[in-house]
Amino acid sequence: MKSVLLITWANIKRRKVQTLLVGICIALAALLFSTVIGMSIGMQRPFDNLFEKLKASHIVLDFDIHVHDPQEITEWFNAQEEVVSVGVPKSRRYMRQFPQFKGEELVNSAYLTEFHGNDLENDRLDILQGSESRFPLPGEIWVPNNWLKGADITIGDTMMVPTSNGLFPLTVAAIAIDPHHSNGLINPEPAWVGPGTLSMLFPVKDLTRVVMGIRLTDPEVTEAVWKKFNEEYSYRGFSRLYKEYKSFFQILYQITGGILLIFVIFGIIVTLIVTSSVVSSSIRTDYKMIGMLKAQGFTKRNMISVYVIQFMLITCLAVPIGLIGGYFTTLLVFKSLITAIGSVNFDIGLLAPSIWTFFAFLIAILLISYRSAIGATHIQPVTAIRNNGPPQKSYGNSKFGLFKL
Amino acid sequence: MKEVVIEAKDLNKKYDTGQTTVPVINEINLSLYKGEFTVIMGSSGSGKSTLLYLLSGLETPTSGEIWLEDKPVHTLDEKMMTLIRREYIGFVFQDFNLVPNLTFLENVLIPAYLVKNDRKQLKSRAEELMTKMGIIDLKDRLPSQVSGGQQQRCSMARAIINNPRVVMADEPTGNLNSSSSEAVLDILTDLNNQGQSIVMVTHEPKSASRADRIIFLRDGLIEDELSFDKGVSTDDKEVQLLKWLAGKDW
Repeated sequence: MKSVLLITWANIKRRKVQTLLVGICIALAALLFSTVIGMSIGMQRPFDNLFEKLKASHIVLDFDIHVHDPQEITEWFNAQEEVVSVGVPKSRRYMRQFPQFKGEELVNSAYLTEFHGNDLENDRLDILQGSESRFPLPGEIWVPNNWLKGADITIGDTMMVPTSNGLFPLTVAAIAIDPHHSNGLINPEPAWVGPGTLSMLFPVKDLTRVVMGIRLTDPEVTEAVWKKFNEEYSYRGFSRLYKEYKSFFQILYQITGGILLIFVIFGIIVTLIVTSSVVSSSIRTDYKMIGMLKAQGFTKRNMISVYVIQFMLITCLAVPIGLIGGYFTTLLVFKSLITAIGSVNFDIGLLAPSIWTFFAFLIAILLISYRSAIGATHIQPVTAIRNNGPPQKSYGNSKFGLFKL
Repeated sequence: MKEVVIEAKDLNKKYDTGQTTVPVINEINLSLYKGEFTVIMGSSGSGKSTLLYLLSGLETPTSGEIWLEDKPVHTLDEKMMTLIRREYIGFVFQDFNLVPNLTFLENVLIPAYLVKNDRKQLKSRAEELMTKMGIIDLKDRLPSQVSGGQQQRCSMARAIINNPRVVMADEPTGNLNSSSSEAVLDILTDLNNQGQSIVMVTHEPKSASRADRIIFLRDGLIEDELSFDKGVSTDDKEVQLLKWLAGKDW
């Protein structure tokens, strides 16, 4: 075994460029692979954490009070054992024009929704900046964090809100996160005013829509409760369920993850091809030395071990580097998310997937280097020693010349 | 009664070129004895290197038998032959064939580690051999940092570290200048004087004059043999040999 290790060490020293190339390929593939794993794990947790923290509703209903009686719907849901709480029906008014800020229209379409307080049983807001009151005071508006992306809004600024009587100034008192709209992909987005404020901005006859949320014991029962509701109650309003919110939340990360996955597959294939080519190229370069070693007593297994151990060592070094890189890349990918969701715990358990990734790469590299190293067993010592290398007829037109480094 | 180390019986080797079969070794019967310094001579293409590689088990014969002491080399599979070669045969090549990125000491230790694991003992043995070869001061040098003669001495230390039954040397002085050649031949002679069996292929009469026995090959056949009496000096051997070769038209 010591002889095998000596030759392995000699090979590594002799082929620094090859070793570096393979190491970089493996590290990059591991980085991409672990980033995809990190994203697939990471994209679940912040949403659920935020949902839990703000006691967000799993079913959100938006209906006309002339069509459905909020009291009746509340009673139906309260009677279900899977329901934790039913939110207060909140008045909501869709703004037909975009709100304006410093003379410019915001690109976000919006609802104005009355917010009844951050101590309710469901659908609280996460206040990123500003007001510490329970709800917006008269003349105040709380705006969603996503509006900051298009405009330099700060606390105390004046937002011009379109009403029936034209633009009405409201003071920005807080910037908040609504777990249902945290990434801004669902439009229109709600902005919040205090209870009773809408009736001062719009004619009461136009304020017929309410939004109410139902929070359940477990997100998994959402579909079942919703199905039962529709079987027993002829509901004709709008609705959104937990899974829709979650998929809207995850879609950007899923697209990014999907693109990365293509790169991962490509990266792994390239890594395996490079490894295989480097082993094959090394064997051709070492042709005479292999013959000499076999003459001195190296068995086929010894020769294969030389190359397998060489690439195992490279893998053992490169994969952890890639995994560390992958961890930071995952954090980078989620940086915007962390900013958006504020103080939500972003604790991704990457240890188990990292160990899993390490061994998956190790096995893949060992298998490919083993397969390629079999070429060394076919070398006849006499041919190698007498010809000073491979017979010309076999390798004269080798397609692997590219990797002769 | 001399003890036979290697014996070849009705040995044949033919190479198949695809279109024709070329006979290289023809019906050779040969016994090599323990402690003997045997030289195989012949013109280029006479089959001398092929015979050396057949006797060492690196080549497989087309027909015939090869016995390495009591081991039937001709019947052994590649793995068994490899394992036997580790302990029975040491090689010295014309091109030295040292591993370029390993030190002299590491090169010497490569075959040793295949057989034993006692690192301290093996290192001590390697250093002892390197001292004998006069290269102990170079033990931490790489092959590229020393002369050809020094590299060949290192390869000889490597060849004998496992105390092989036979040392097979294929043109060991072929790539060396005259002074280095003399030094290498002196070492081989010393080893032989200590009881080491040596088989050497050469086409240089001066090198061959170190032998106890010379086998002359022509077209794959043993054409003639010359044995020297014990105690004959190298210079006298060379004179005898040149006279002997003069009649052979080579």
